[in-house]
Amino acid sequence: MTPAPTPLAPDTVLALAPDPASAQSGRKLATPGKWQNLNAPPGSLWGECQGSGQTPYLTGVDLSGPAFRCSCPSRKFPCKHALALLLLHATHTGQFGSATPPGTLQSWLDGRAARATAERPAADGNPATPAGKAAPDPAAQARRRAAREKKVTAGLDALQTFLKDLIRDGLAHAPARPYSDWDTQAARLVDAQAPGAARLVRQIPEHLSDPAALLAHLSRLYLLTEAWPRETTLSPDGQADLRAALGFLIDSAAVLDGGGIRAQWQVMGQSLTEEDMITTRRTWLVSGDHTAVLLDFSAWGRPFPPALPPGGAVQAEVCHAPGTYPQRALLRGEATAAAAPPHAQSLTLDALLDRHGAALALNPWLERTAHLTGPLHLLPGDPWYAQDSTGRLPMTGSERSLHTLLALSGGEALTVYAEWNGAALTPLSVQSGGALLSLRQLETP
Amino acid sequence: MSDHDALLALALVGATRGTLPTPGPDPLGQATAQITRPDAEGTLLARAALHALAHAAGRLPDPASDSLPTPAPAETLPEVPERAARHLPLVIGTPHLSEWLTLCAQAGWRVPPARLPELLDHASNDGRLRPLLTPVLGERGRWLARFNPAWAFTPPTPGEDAWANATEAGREALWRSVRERDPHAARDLLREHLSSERAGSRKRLLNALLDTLTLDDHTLEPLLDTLTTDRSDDVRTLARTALHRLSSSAQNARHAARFAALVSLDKPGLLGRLTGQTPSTLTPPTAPDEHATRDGLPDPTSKDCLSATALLEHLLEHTHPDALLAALNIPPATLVNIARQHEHLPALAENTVSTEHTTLAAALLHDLPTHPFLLQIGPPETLSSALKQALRDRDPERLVALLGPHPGPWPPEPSAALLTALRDTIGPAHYAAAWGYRWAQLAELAATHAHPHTPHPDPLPADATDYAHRTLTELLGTLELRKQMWNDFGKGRG
Repeated sequence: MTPAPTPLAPDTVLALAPDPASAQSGRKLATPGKWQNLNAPPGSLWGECQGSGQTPYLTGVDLSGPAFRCSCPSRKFPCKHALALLLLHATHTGQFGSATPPGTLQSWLDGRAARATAERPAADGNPATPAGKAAPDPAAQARRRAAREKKVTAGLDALQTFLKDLIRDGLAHAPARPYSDWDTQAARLVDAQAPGAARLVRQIPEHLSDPAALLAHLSRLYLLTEAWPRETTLSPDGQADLRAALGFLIDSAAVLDGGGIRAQWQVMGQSLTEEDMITTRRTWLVSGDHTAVLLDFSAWGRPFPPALPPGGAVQAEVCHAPGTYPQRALLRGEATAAAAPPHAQSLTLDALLDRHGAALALNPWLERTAHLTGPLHLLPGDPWYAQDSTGRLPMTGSERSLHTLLALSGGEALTVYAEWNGAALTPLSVQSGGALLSLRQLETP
Repeated sequence: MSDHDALLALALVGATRGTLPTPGPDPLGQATAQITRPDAEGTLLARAALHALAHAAGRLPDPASDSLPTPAPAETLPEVPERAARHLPLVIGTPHLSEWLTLCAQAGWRVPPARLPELLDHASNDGRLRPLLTPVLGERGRWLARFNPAWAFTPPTPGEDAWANATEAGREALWRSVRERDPHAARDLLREHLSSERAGSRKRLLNALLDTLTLDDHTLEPLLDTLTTDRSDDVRTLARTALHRLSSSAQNARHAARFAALVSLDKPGLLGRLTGQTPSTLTPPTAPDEHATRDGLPDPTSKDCLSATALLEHLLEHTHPDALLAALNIPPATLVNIARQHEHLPALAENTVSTEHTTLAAALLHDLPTHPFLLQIGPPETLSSALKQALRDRDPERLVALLGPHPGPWPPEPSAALLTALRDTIGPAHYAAAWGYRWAQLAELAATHAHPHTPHPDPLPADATDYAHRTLTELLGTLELRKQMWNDFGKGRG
């Protein structure tokens, strides 16, 4: 007999919400009175929630993902009904029956189970090309690629001239330049299909008050302009690093076709950054010595795709994109809930910097790495610092997450999983009571 | 000057205004020297790139600081168990957080450390949560609050400098926490510090004293007496209010003497004897009253002196009922009779409510049978029968007046009857305004104040509207959530 599923903690459920509004609505719906049926047959949950119409919405959750299905019109996944169903399972477990779901839901669950079974053997061998999908035309691909590369070359040539002009005039004059200078240059690079370089140009004004940081930033851009004409002299992984820094999309199909590491991965933490109305969600996964970061994007406030449960563990095949220091990765197939693997060894701050330095030596354009580090003491202030026996490093992040860390520490040392971007540590999760507690989930309203 | 600084200096003035610096003999300098480009700008930028990367990759941690925070003291309360803590994410930001905190404090538990920042933030934005959160903060919470000025409303960690280092809000919190543990020590704190505090702090502390005043506080009378001549109007008023509530205070005795001199009871005529009513006459004072100003009265000999009836109104409102009754040695009904005869029943009712005088409330309810606050402090059976009548009459206005002031949870019986009344009245309503805003207000009150174990009413009739179904389902769902919460807290109590 399949054991009854262990309810996800309310915090973990709320962290799965695609946006704060969904989390708030899910909380409001998490009262048994709003549900006509609540059932938890093995491996899944289902219920019927009365909405504004006559017919209640039929909501199902496959706990192996978790994956969600609901008859409501929302295009968010999970929707507020699915979140409420999971929350109710956490707080009112006793009120769930064990009835089997209606036909439509059962078919969906059966389909998922069948797909999971079918995908498993394929993961160990060479996956077949999806049926019905025509193979791309190599000649057309080559033409498109050549056209783009020509544009990038022209854009980076102009950028190099712009950078040299800046140095010839003297950086002391740079702050007096009109803002349109930087915007125009960034826009040209967007037109030249080098969005990564455009992003770096848009960051220039942040450094205008610090000449040393400005020179470092400009020199990094210059390195891009020098590397591009010599691309063919780089190793394939070096070329991938350069293309990623210039903003070339990764070839997802090729990455997935290359296969990956099927293992139990701990979801170490999530972070969000926002640039030009695009929010990027980074989900860090660790399995033994392997680290992977999954990127999801949300433009103009649209919801993110469903998240992996922060602090939890999943069984998944993780395919790394090529690179000299491979971090960026894609999931092949679906991740399913799994038992947590043992925690990785934590690093001292000095060792963390060593690892980051070694990564930079391979990929000079690497923006951040993430590590389990500790035991650390926290020093509140402006900025906050993390300190261990090897010294201290500045910290950044929301006030709430830093105070939560301090509350958990009580002034004693603790171990955190944090991103290091060369300037500050951003804590993403903390080891507490033998479990990994995601800091972002605590901030969910 | 290092190689990097030399490059930066040239970059600042412009590559054409100087010559490229010669790199040093160290390995980085030697590597830099290998980098040459056809133009000075390119060479400078390429060399700067090498330095920037070498700096980033070779970074060492900053030197450690000696001033780590002192660790938090050991906890004295157990942490709330997971079965009760799991409700917290769902009730934060809702009206049910107050109930969760109250249940947690009653159980003698403290909140989980990870939740402290969120709860402290909520309490810093909502003053009503502060006294509820303080008892469940634990040592960790009090320690943590030191690191954010927005959380200064929490009591500072006890110690010799605690009072001196605390903000005004912190002193109030410290005093309240001492008051809870040791009322005698709290009185000593007031004697020691109150007169030297700023006016804002004096007001905070006097308000805190009024919130927790008992007859044992009569030992504070000399201090309160001195504050009746304070520079601040608010402080003077608060001090007089405290003295008013202490039945044996000298202020009450002086008011009682004024009352006795002002009011004389006449011999009742036949009608008076039959109705039990004693007529009274007022004799305005003529002699100077040396304590008038400190007791909040204009001097009777000045041009601003109160008329006899205005003086009576003031005395009926600001003299403890026990002192008024003793002044003329009369029963509560006669005092009510005097107030009625001179049309000052509202003043006497206000006094009765503020001093929570049960017997006078019972006497006043004959004249003011619908006064909701008198009903709250009067005999329980009177309130109960008033509630029953209002429920029978389906009178939402009256129900709001009677139930609104009750802190909750309401007793099971009126809770169940109210749910039935809500069900009976909502059926045909298509929206809140059609139901009546008082009923909608009662439904909201019931969600937070009805007894969580109230049995559900019969289902709505088949022809009830969608709005009726939705509203009632939501209300019952909320009660279900509270019931589960109570059960989860109840398991560990006792």
